[in-house]
Amino acid sequence: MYLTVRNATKTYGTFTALDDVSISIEQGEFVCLLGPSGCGKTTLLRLIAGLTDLDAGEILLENEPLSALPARKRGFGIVFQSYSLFPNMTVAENIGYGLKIRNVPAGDIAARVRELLDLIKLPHLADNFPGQLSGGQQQRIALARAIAVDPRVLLLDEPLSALDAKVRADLRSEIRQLQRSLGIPTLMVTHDQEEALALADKIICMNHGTVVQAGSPEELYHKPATRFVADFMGISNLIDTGTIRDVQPDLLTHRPEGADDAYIACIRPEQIALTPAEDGPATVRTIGFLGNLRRIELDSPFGPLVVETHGAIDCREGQSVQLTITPEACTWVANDTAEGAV
Amino acid sequence: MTGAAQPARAASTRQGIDSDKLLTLVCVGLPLIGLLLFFLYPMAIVFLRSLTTADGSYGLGNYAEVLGSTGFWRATRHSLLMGGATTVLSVVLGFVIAHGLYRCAFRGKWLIRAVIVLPLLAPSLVQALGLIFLLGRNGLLNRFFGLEIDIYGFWGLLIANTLYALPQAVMIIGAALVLLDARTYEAAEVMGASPARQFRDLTLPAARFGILNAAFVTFTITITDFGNAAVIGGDYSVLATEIYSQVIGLRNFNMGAVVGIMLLLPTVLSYYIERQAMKRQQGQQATNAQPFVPQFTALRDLPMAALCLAICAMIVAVIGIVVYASFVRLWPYNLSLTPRHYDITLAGGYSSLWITIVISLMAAAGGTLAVFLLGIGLRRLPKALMQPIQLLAAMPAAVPGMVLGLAYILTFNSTATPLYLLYGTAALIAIVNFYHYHTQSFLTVMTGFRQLPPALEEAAGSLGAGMGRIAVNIIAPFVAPMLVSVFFFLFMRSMVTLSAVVFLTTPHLSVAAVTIMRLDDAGLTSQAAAFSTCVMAVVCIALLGMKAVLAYLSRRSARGRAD
Amino acid sequence: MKSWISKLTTSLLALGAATAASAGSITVYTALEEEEIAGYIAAAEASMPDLDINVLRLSTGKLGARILAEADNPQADVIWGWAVTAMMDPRILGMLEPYKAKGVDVLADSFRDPDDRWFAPIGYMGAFCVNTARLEQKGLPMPKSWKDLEDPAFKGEVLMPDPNSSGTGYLHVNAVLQNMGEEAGWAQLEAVDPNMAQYTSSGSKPCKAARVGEYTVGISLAFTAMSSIEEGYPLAMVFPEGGVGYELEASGLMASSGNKDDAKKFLDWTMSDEAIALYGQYKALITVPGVKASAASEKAGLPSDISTVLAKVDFAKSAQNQIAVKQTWKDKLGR
Repeated sequence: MYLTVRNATKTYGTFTALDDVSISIEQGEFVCLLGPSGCGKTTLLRLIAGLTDLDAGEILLENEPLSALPARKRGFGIVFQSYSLFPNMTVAENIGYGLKIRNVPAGDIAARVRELLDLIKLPHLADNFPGQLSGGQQQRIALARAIAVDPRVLLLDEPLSALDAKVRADLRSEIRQLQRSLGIPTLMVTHDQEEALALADKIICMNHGTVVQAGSPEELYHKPATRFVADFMGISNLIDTGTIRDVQPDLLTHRPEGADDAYIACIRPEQIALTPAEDGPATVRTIGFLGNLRRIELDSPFGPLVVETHGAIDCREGQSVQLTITPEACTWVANDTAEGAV
Repeated sequence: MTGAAQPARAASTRQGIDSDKLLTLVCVGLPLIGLLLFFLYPMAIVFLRSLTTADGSYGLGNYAEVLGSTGFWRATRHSLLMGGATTVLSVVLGFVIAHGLYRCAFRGKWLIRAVIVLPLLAPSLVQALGLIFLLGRNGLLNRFFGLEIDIYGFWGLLIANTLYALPQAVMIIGAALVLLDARTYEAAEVMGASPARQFRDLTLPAARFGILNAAFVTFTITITDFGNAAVIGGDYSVLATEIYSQVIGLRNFNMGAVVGIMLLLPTVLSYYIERQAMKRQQGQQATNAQPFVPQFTALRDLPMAALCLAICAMIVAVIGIVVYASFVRLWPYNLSLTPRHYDITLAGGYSSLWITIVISLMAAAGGTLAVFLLGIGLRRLPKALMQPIQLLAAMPAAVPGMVLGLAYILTFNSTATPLYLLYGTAALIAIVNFYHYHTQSFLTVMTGFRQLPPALEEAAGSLGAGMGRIAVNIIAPFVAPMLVSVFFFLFMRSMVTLSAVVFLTTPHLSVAAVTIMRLDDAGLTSQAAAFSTCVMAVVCIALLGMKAVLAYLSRRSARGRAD
Repeated sequence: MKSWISKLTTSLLALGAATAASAGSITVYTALEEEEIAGYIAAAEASMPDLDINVLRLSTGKLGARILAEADNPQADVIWGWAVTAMMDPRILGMLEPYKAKGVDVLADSFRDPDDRWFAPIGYMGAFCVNTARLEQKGLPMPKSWKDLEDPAFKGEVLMPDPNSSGTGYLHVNAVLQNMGEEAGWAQLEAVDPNMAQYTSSGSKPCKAARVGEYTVGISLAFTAMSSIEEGYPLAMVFPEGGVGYELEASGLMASSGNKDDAKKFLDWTMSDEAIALYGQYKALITVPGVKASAASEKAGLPSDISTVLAKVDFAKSAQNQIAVKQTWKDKLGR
């Protein structure tokens, strides 16, 4: 383990922001902290950065406790959602600031700044002030500023949230490339599951100040542990045990033992196959065209269902269809309180 | 990291924590020690005096006597009424001017900006003479229109107090209005909100911080001001005149101390109300607010420009007439021009001007540094510690200058402590000037700090910058405009303030304001006006310096903000 | 340019530390007028070249507040030319050391302390400042006495200092009371009250307001009246019939002085022939027998024998009754 957080707890008055949280990051790994706002993910990031003090628990970097180190001694890089460039410094001064603090000779700083500006493809902006730049440019520079000092860990606090869709997608892939090529262990906070799925080696899904599930993007998507994760990680059809038993009992094959309301079936929209059939049990309510796929909403014996198919499909609204769901497609997830997923 | 490097790192770590904690301690500690030594300690001595009865024993006898006198209650009523009226008038007019400056589009704003600070740099004698020459029974207005308006009393005092409070109200409200994000207005515009609605629903609520702070400062300086009340208040007795008659007329400092302590109550109360009202507005400033650039709208801008100009014309008239009178042979009977009043030989002549400049620079530099450090330190303190310090820092305005000056004698003329070494020095005069105007300086800098996004400091911290570096590289450039304002505010006030300083001058050490008073005492009012004109000229030069520095800074930040 | 630099240098030196009283230098607190201070000090330093005299000038009231505030560690060596009514405050008397200055014997008993803590070779007097231009414009008769000011035609045209804030105010009130007797005196003050536009906190302000034509009559000080007349203001100085209030300007030695030898030398000088000759140049009221008042004061309308216009004032009584009179005034006439 490169960076480990053990049993971290943080309260603000009566509000528990983090409740006994443990996570870890491997050398070179890209980890996303995913969760709805207020789930404690930003608090966790700030604890790791040293910007907030821990109430209980510990943070270890290569087995050395960090708790006693102030933010400035941790040697981490951080990028905030609000660009947070120093308005009184030029782009080059911003990027070189961390090196200047480390008393790097001016010539070396200049070289490093040039190198980084090339890396983020903004070599012409060195002498501009932050206010003259677009949001995307500012965030690239913030990123360059954070990695200029070869941080031991890179911390990204919703770095893409303030950007528009196109810039966001571009920067997302740039961050990914940069992180891969530099191999800096990175922890990113986000509430956007798509972003997390696209970037992360590992996703840590949080809710109500606790870690709900941690694992690879595939694991979290296909094998969500709880109803909350299933719901938060994209669209899922959640069906209770009783309905499954009534409609298609063979889906109960992989169900763990437990009371009826302890587990709930989660079936991803693309895991359901549709066949037009006059006597099919389900009826197509609406068909949404999303470019590369179609999203179809059905009324079925399971209740309302969402199905996604690639390519054209031969059915119309109001048509009856046959459903095919294999037991493997059905993941049984713990039925944690549903309101957290809203 | 290699294993061998670890112990060294751990050691430097411990040291590192200490250095930042130490810096916080220094940042809060030094200004706090200043506040304790130069404000709280003298005020504690005043408090002790207020408890000392005529026979030398301690008790509440003085309070009982003051509370039992009809004069006190009348003066209290008058003070509260005058404080309230001045506050309303100054805040309304201050808002009009600040709104005109920052939310309207018309030409000649530089003129308004320049004129509005004039009452701050004018010695109190100038404002008093100006109002009498202009509005007095034998003033220009009455003579020209053949009127018999008598301004002595409530209305004259209201005008004089408002003139003095207005620049401070504009300063504080302006700082709040200039911050509003243009995008919220664009959003409101698109949603179909009329300009009036936008004003009511966006501008007013957003400016609440500034309005409340301005109201607090205005109210406090009004109820503690003696100069205006003595000159133009006529028989309208206020608490500050009560103190004067107790301390100067009856030579009973203990009774004056009682009234001085009582004056703290409404101020603490109004500060508390202000804080309560502020609680709900703790919103953080976005790092990338879009500055509002007003477009010309005749219906809004022409009346606003006219109103602003009218207020400025009044200020110019009051001060200009005194400058003019200083060149007149015998106001108002012989209006031929002469430079003879500028030949000043009595009361030390012009010699005090130079030492006053030095003292004012000391007060301004030391004071600006102190409130800056305090601002930095307070950001790093827990709320429970921060709030009492904030209250303490906001309180000095509630102490009338005369009480502060006498308290300084009682405190620093005692050989019991090494502080005695300060007595009779220019340093002590600089110190009393700073603490006299601590409230305004502190609140202005705090307004600046409110705009500083915490992410900037955190980003710098994560890059490895210690607190000292953050203060110098990040915070200071950000709040620089406020620091410059505070510097020149302190400079201007130190150049002309009399009330506290008059008790601390020595035969070797006289300041300009005291020279003006001595000339006026000697009956040489025209020479006093001439000397005042010289002081104002000096301060104006300093003011131009400020404009240049500010222009330079805003050009830099404009480069940084243009999007 | 050079003088600027030297001034700045002296200023900077003053920043560092308070100049401690040292041999050859004394600190003198005074409420005398600027012009006379300049004249006296020039002469005194000429005749005592080894002595450096540092003068702090404040108005009577402010000086009192300062001396009392400094009581724990007095800074002055000498109090020079300060209202005797203020000097007689027991707290001030307690700070003084008896010293019989050379030549003080010539003064009548009423002009010096029986215990030699103070002596007063000079004094100042009150006066009505009447703006003749405004008087004419309003068609008012020249007031000759307090009684004349009762005339309703003077309504809102008269100013006087508040005795609770101003020594000059007390000077006038006390004179009226001692001259006419308590009862008749209060009745007189109450009769004038309806015409009184303001009671001011400063003693010279009524005259300054009258001279620029804000009001017609300012009950104030003869010194202010005379200097205003000299300046050219359309002002007449009137001493009310029945006697005008006056005040002695007393001097004394501070018991705490660290340089009593020089302090005494200075006090001796204030009774020297040279000093007395200067009094004749500046003062209207000189208690040294046989010394004529200044030519300027004669020009301004002061009679050659001023005793004819002075009220009969018992200063011990004035000081004693002070608090009671001020309180009564507050009750009867306070606004």
